[in-house]
Amino acid sequence: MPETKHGDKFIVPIGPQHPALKEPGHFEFTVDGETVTGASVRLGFVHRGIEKAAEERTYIQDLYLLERICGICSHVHAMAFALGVEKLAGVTVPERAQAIRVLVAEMERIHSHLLWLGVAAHEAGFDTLFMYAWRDREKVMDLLEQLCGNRVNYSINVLGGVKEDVNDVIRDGILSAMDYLETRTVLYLKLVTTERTLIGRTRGIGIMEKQTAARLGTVGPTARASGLERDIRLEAPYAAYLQYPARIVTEQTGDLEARFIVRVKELYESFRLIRGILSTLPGGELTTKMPRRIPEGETISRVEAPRGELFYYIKSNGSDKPDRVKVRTPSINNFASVMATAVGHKLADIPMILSGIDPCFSCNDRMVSIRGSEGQQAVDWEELRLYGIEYYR
Amino acid sequence: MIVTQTEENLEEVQTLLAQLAIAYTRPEENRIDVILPPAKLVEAARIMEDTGFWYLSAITGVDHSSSADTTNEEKAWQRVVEGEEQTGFGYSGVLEALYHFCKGSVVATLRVRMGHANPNLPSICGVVPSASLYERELMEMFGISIEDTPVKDHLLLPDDWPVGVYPLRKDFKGFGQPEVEGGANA
Amino acid sequence: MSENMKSILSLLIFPGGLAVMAAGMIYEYIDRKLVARFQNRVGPRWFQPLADFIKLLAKEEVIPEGIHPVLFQWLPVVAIAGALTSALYVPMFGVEPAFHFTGDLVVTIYLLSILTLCTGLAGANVANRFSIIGATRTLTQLFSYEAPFLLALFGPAIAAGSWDIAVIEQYATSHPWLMVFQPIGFLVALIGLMGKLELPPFDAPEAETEIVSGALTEYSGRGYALFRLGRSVELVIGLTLVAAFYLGGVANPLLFLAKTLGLLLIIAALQSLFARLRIDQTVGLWWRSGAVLVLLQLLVLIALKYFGVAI
Repeated sequence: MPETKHGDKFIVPIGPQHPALKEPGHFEFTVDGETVTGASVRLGFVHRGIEKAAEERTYIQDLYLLERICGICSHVHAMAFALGVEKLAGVTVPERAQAIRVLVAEMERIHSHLLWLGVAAHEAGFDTLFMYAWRDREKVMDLLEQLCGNRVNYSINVLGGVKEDVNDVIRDGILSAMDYLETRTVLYLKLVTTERTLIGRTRGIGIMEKQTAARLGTVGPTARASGLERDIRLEAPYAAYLQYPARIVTEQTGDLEARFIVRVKELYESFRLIRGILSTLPGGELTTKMPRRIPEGETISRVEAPRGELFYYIKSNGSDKPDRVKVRTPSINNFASVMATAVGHKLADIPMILSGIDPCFSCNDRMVSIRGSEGQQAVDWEELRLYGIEYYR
Repeated sequence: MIVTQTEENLEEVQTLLAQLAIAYTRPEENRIDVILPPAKLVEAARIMEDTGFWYLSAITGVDHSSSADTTNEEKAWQRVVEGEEQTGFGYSGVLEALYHFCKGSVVATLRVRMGHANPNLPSICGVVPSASLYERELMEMFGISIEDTPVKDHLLLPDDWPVGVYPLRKDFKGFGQPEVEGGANA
Repeated sequence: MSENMKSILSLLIFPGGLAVMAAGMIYEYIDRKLVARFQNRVGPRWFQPLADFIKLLAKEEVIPEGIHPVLFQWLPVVAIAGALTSALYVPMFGVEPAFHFTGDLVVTIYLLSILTLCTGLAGANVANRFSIIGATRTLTQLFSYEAPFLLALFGPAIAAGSWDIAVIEQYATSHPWLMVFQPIGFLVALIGLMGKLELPPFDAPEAETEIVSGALTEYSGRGYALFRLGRSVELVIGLTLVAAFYLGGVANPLLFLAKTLGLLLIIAALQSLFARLRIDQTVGLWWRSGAVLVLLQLLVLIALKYFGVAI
């Protein structure tokens, strides 16, 4: 292997802006030649102050605000918040609404896992799979748009139910798309388990033992790929998951290949759930009446986002605004696993390991609005503009 | 099946932490709150972690003051710590850190309370390494000082964030509207 | 026309210089379009490589601090000069090579390596971490594919009994396709060409998800345009060499087009079929399989030649 020309301590920064990251985050990897010997993380580049902002808005406004924490798994955020607030208010949501929530959640999972498959393939330099996975993802996006009216930030939840109903046209559309996607998923599963160059980049890379995964508190597909049976859909069924139970998908090896396999196999699970829901969709109302002021109390609402356990702590104080909303997204639990598994690997494996947990930076960075710095930024921008004009004069 | 398991898990927490807790509450059917003095926090976390099944899901910081009313905060804090008041919420002038441990459907919350004046906590990173990120968040968002945590850098806030400003405390109302500089020629 | 005039024309216009550059752009377009179609994308329009080139020429060339500025500016020029010079010894477009002498095969192969060498040096010249890692990888890859590629081109040379590209090409034209008798050599030459051009899956030296743009990260404007053009030129020359040696020669422009485009189709398919190899995997592949196999084939060839068996 090549020698480094600059001694043994050589730091490769990945981020805040880097092609491997679709969102800003900053990682510093100390390398010796091609081998990584140390890693550290700095978050906060897409910090928007959502937790503080949520305290200053009403519950209804918060529903829309919190949905915008993440552009990929937006529905689960709104659902977790709505479920929590409904629990605080002591309201029972109609069965049909809960089933539709689960339906959208599973469609979102399909879209998120396909998106991840594409991104991970791109990190591996396998752009063909990237393009194919994203083309198929469009199918689900179109369905979600048909159902909810939006491609992202579906905004189907309201406090006390859902907004949109599933009619026959949409139902048939979803069912036929599921059939198509299932045939594609067969291909993807075959690809990730048999394509030799891809296996060369995934098998035995980033191995995390079951004990390590448990100790680091990993969640979601990352944990399940290490043989850890953690899935909130089963452990603490919410919404309609009691009527439509999910089956857990685990792999024992804990390497990147296992994370590929777990996510692809979870697609089958989502197809099955969606078919089940659509064939036995309960009738009835879509919404129930919600009080505007929520009684004093606190609750914890946990749901299974595509990336793992999403944790909401909501504290109400009897007014129409929450006293505290704490959001703990799955990525933050899984980051520790990257830092722990990166050491000892080749630099080329790092983007793969990083994307193996399906990180979502916007999810992690929330909370405080930084009004003070906006003025500063305006000046910089102006200077840049003037420099640009001067340069091309 | 889930219900009996939930019950077992809840009881497990109660027996595990019997020696340490000031009080227990069961706010919801799948939750148990354990009120602890800060000094016993690390030991409690170690007990939970050593079982091998409970994992730290999150650490939440809560500011219980509804306004800038801090006149009686020291007294209120004393009462809380000494276990005179044990209900779940609603003190003025109290900061609280909630350590949520999960197993199955159960969330066990270890609650430790501090006054506003000099809040400090021991670090549980020695027991639960993944707590580091949450502890950094508590430090910068609530100004809780955690002396022995391994990394004390800013996690989420910018590096030039003013010292002593803790945004998730209730008395933080933002910096106001920024002055428009150089706006005339923009 | 005087001999000098003719030399200058062949250097600057045809078959060297402008013609090769134009061909390079066209082939780059075809390659990009094919890969795009294989990947279910629309792909670029026909003038995109030219548009890219003009755009890059028009851009400001940022010269980073803490480097050797002369080296920074002249490395791309040397790189493309090397690539263009090598075109003179190769039967481009199915016409006779402009110049030929005994041993020009070896010279051509080394001229073709100049581009890679310059890329590596350009990366090592700047104080950018991505560049330096890219440069290390580029040079590592150079050392790994160079030997097998060289050996793979020696196969036909031994069969023809000459080191002169024109003579080997004539031999290939008058005999059945060498690809049939030396399949390993053909494969290694084709894949070696991909490694040389840092095409996927051998694009670890410029893996954008790891090290941004590798050795050329700091390059913008003119320097970058020249490096890119140099690579396109090498693509055409490399394809011509492989077609001339292994696919029964390129006796006329039509055959040239058909054979090189056929090879390009294969290369484009290979590019879209695989995930990127790590640099250690690339090196391992070349030294463990490529070099050994092609050496074996070469030994067999020499033995057959020695015993006077007609091949």
